[in-house]
Amino acid sequence: MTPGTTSRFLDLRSVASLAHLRFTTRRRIDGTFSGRHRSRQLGGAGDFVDFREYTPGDDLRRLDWKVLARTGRTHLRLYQDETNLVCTLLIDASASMKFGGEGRNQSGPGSKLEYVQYLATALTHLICHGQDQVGLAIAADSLRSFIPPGSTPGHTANLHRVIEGLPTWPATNLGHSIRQLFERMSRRGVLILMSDFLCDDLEDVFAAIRLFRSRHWEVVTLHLVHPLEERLPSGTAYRFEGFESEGSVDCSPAEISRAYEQRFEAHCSMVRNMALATGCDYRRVSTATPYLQTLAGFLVERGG
Amino acid sequence: MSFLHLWAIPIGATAMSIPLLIHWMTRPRPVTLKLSTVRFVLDVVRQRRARNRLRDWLILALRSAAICAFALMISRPLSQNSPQAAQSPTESALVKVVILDVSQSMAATSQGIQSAQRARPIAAKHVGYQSNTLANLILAAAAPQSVFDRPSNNFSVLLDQVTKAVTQPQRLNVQPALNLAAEMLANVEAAKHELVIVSDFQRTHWASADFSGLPVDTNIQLESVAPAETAANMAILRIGTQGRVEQDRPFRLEVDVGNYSATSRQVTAEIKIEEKLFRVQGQCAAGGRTTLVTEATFSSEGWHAGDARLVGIEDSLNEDNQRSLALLVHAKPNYLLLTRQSADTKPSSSYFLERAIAPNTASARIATENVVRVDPLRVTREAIMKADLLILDHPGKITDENLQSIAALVVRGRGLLYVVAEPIDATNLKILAKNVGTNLQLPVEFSPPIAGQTRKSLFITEFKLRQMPFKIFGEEASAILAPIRFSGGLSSRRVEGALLDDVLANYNDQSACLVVTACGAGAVAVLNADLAASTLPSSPAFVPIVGELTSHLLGRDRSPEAVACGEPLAVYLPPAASPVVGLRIESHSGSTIVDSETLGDLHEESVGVMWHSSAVGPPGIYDVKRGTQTVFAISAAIPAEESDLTAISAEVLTDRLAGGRHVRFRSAFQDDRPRDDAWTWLAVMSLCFVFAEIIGLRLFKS
Repeated sequence: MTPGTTSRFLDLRSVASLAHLRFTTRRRIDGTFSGRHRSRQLGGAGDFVDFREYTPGDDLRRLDWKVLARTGRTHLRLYQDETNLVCTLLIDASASMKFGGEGRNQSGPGSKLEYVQYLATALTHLICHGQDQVGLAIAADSLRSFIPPGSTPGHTANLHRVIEGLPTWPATNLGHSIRQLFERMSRRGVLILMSDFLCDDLEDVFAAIRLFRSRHWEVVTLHLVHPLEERLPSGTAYRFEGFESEGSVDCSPAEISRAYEQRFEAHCSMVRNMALATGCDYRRVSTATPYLQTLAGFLVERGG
Repeated sequence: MSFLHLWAIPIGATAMSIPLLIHWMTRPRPVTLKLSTVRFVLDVVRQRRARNRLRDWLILALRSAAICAFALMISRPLSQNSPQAAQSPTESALVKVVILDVSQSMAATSQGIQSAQRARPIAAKHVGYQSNTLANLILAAAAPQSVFDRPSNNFSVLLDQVTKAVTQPQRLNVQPALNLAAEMLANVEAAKHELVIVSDFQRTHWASADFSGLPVDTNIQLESVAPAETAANMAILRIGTQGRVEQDRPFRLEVDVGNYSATSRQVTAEIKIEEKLFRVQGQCAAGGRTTLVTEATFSSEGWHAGDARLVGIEDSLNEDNQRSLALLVHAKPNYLLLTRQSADTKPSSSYFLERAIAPNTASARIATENVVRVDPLRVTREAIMKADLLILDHPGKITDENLQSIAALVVRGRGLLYVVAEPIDATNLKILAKNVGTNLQLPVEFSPPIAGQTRKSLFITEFKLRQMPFKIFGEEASAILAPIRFSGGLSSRRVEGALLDDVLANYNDQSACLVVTACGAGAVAVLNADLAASTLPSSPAFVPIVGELTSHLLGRDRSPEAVACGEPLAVYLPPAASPVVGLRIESHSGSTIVDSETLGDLHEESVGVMWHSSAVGPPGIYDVKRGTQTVFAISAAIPAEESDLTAISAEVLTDRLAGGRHVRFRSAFQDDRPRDDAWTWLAVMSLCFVFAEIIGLRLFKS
């Protein structure tokens, strides 16, 4: 249990069922402390993994003197270091994340933001519980908030408090926010981007992500989709108003529902393709799926 | 372009706005909804905006067109080239005269509508208000009646008169109406003159129409309301008797029936004269007329009223299926034989005449004829006035007073048989002709034979075989007349300019043998022979000839069988009707409302009482009574020409009768066809627009 946690989005009883899972990565990572994750460093404090011929410049302390004695050839002993994972959650706090199907007289999940709050709270709890570090960045029209990675209970409680009180901003510039985050990140790690990707310039977003990728960051994109976004409501006439100053439009959903669905699916496909092309992990998350199920699937998939 | 139901246009315009109004009132109120993916909706809407706009305009256009076509269909557009189309308020003044036919034939029904009902809206259209125009309306029947003395701009009165116009039981006298219109058009200076005639253009009336009296610049618009195919019609054209009807003597009652249809018809007519009912039947060929005859006998003398009607006939004109009859049953005729010869002198000329007229007198049978032999010197005026037929034979010198009485009697319808044998007879004839005046013009002038000339053994060389009295002999006439030799008589000389057809027989010396000529309402027959010296009395032809002559002369005082409604009437009453004091005219049917003008008036003239009326009233019988006794009666009837509904062809009117004027002909029935076509096509168009709208909505998947 995280000491001092009072977030309404953290249900420890439910999260406890996922305690045996841990957020990990297939790649080797740079960590601050010793941990359970493979480090990019092949030092001498870890498990033996292999030999390698000596090349000038190598640390002579890793030279296997016994092999040199027996064979007269210089080989280095390679050991896998294990370090902790440094993860940064980047949450899209644009106004579109507030969408939760209000006014449709339908019972269903809450808003995407609420879903993210549950998911991020549980994820940070699990990461910290695994002795890994987690940070938090809030993106809107710019990088609104950034909490560097940490793993202390107080840090986690702070994260939960920030997540619980997460506001939204009426404009989105996700690419700019990612670039700002990139400038403030000194070490490589894992970036988990939680967004609905409803922005004007997806190219710019993924151009910014490519910056992280170029520094060998592992980027995980969680594409949040509300089920009520996938299709328009039935009815004769609606005036749709945007969350982010897109204006409004009067239309009959029956006339455009098919085209809308095609357009939405095209958007989702574009996000997925661009994410995969950038080398990101991509996962489409529907808010219709319980967040614990989503989290469990996500962790299992990542080999936790 | 005009519209039969103009009121439908504003209703249609209102109807066109109704769907828009309903659309506006019931348009869905959009539900405002927040949507995070509104950018996608905007993209989709933007992509479909052009398509939706095209769809909306197309659907709106189709919907409006459907409603517009429906409204036009209701309004029944008339695709006609109105003669007024070229007239605009900016043009110079127009003088227009509209002649509306209100004769009896306009009451004919075709397709359930009377011709008059078709004519009224057409005439109303022409007398509707037009700026810078003067108009007048002439109701044409027996006599034309104009609404105003001259064209006026008081269109409301003209329209009112058109609305009130009803058909009259009269014939259409075309030319007086045309002449009146021509006078009106010619008396008003205007840039344009127009004559509009709305009629059924019966061939019987319009074949002799002459438009040449109209001003040269007159545009003539003929509006025909006659159906394309002549409506079938049956009519009683005449009811009358053959010859003189006398008390207790059978006579032939004749009904002429006309069949103006394409098929032969079996016709039955019922004739009811007071309490007696006669039923006659016969076959009437298509397009012809037949005479149905029955024999009747009346025991009471005087005037009898009756009528004949066709039974079981349904045709286009019902008014001519019956006709009234005023029948005068005479008492046995009184013959007045004026002769100086003694009744005891046998044989003598007067004796032969008396025996020929009353052949049964000598027998034991009851005499049927009453011959009074009187010496001209002792005859009284009363005796002359009582005579139905005057016979002069060897009268010698007749006094002027008696000749005046005889002349007056003959003019008023009595007959005169003058057997001229003596020179004094030529003088009597001259004085008689002088007293009668212009009413008598003998074709020959009789004069005493030239001294030394003997008229002896004359025989007939020329005679009118087809005329009375020789007609009864048929082809045997020549054989019968050839052996007869005539002696005596007077020489004769033809009168220039006289009617030679009145000379029925000539002798071999070219002198006249028998002359029968009209004299006022009566007739004068002159037999030029001395019967005592001739072989005629001993001939079997004598009695028939005398009988035919007397029958003809007695029949001359018959009143006309019928007079045409609406026509002027001038008829002398029988001599017995005099004096005029105490006489009154009334309609036989008490229920018929007839004004005093229609009844006419009676006034005394030198030759008797004349009944004069400027226009005879509606069909029926009109009596002249003294107290309760009818002294004269006459039947007013629809002219027979009105029953023939055959219309004259348009080409004849526009070409042959146009008289150089610009004549346009238009049929209301031809106009109806495109009218109906137009509304039918508009209905089809309206449906097509609706279907196109549905298909459009389907194509746009709306």
